[in-house]
Amino acid sequence: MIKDLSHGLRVTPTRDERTRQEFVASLRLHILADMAASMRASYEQRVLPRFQQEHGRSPADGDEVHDAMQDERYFRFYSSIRYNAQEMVFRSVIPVVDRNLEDLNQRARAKPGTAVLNPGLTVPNNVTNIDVHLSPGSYHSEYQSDDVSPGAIYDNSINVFAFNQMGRDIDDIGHSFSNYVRLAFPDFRPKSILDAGCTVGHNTLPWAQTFPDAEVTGIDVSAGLVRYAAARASAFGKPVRFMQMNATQLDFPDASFDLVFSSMFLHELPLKDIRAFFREAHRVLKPGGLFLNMELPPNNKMQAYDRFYLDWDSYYNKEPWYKPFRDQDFPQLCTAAGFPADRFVEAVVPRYTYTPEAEFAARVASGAQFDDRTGRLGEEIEWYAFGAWKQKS
Amino acid sequence: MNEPLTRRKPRIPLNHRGKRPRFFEASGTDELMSMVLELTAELWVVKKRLYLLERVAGQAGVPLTPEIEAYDLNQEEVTELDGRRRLLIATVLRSLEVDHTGRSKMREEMEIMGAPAQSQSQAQAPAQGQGQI
Repeated sequence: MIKDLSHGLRVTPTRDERTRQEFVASLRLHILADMAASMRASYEQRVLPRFQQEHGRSPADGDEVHDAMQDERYFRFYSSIRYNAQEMVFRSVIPVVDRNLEDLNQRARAKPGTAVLNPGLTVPNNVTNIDVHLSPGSYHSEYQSDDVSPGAIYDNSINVFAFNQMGRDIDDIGHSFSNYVRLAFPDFRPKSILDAGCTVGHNTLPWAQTFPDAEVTGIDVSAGLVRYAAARASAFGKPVRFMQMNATQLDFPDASFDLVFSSMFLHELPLKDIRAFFREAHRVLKPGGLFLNMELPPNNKMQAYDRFYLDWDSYYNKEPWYKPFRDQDFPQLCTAAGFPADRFVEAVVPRYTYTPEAEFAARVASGAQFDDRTGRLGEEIEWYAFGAWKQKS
Repeated sequence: MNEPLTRRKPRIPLNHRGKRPRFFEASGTDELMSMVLELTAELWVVKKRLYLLERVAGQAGVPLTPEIEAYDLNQEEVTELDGRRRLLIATVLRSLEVDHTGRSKMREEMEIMGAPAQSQSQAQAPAQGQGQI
């Protein structure tokens, strides 16, 4: 069920380790598809009528649904099993990385790619203070000198986490949105692209593939991730540069990029850092440049139950900034950073990897349509992104 | 399967920081859930390995079933299996290691069959108190 990562930094599990990873991936699919459907039914059949009877109305937001679900036994089992499965993702991967640590670091050193590190950078509190999404060591902990293990743990964990639904090398988000830009804006051909909070660069490299003439740069605060991302790009033969840098304080001059992208990044940031990053993105964009963030969809576009469902991570998965981010007005975030109100961009697309080109292009042309698949990992996912164009000079 | 038990002190922690949430009011239910899931994972690992074993042996022309019934374990093998069994139990019961034993963390070791054997100098004894089931 799970394929080995296809690049030169893959670590090879034993048969039993792989079988255990398969189990965890199947368990997650069962939770997010089968159990999620049953939980929704339990809400509609029992919880919602009870709430309506007590309050004379339906729940107004996700928090009210969350409160109402506390008495529902199915929700408790769902949460318990999902929480354990999240722990088991890392427990199925870390022993493999741990056993291969010397070899892995040696391979990364032999073909390091372009990694620009900044030892003076302070890794921000939102990364260091908690083990984000229950990942032991969070995004940044290192165990050897010049360690790439944070990258290896992340890369291999999402390979289990995604149960084969996020692209061959967990890179579908990058493919989906680089091709969205190519198809939605045929006159826009970015020559310089920044991917902020890029982790292992899995969604950075597709930009270099879709726009082969572009100079592509990925940044992240974690040195271990930057080293791994650069070596991973090198293993794929992609000339993409990775730099250790904080997106809230970019070391680039004004008007450096045609396109600033991020994916699954904003929900890891406190709101003040999101605002700072948006101002920085606006500053480093060229006039007429595009800012685009792949993310979970905003709560104000969702029904109360779907808000609650997607915010599970914020309640239980050590993602404290997830719901505060999703509660924002996304166009307002953009205008507050200097983007013109009438140049807001929003997209919902199917996964490029699994969708025929013509069908994908038709969906891009038809504009953003929200439903309960939007931004939600299950058997059918549709990705969401938003951003804005910078004013042309 | 005659590989020695792979036991080593990992360098990368398996446990995340922070307290595990309680989803159930009835005492012990949260730990039981972890046990059931770990147990099911271990069961699947074994079922798949047996499936493969039968296929591989069959293809090699080895009729395994009567051979297994007749096999006499030697003392070394018995000791190895004792160790493996203890580690399996500790993995399944990992959720009890927090709160109930005075330990602050769940175990950092997992049984890995088929992993390359450690040299004596690399292999480390489990920390005091671990594996005492």
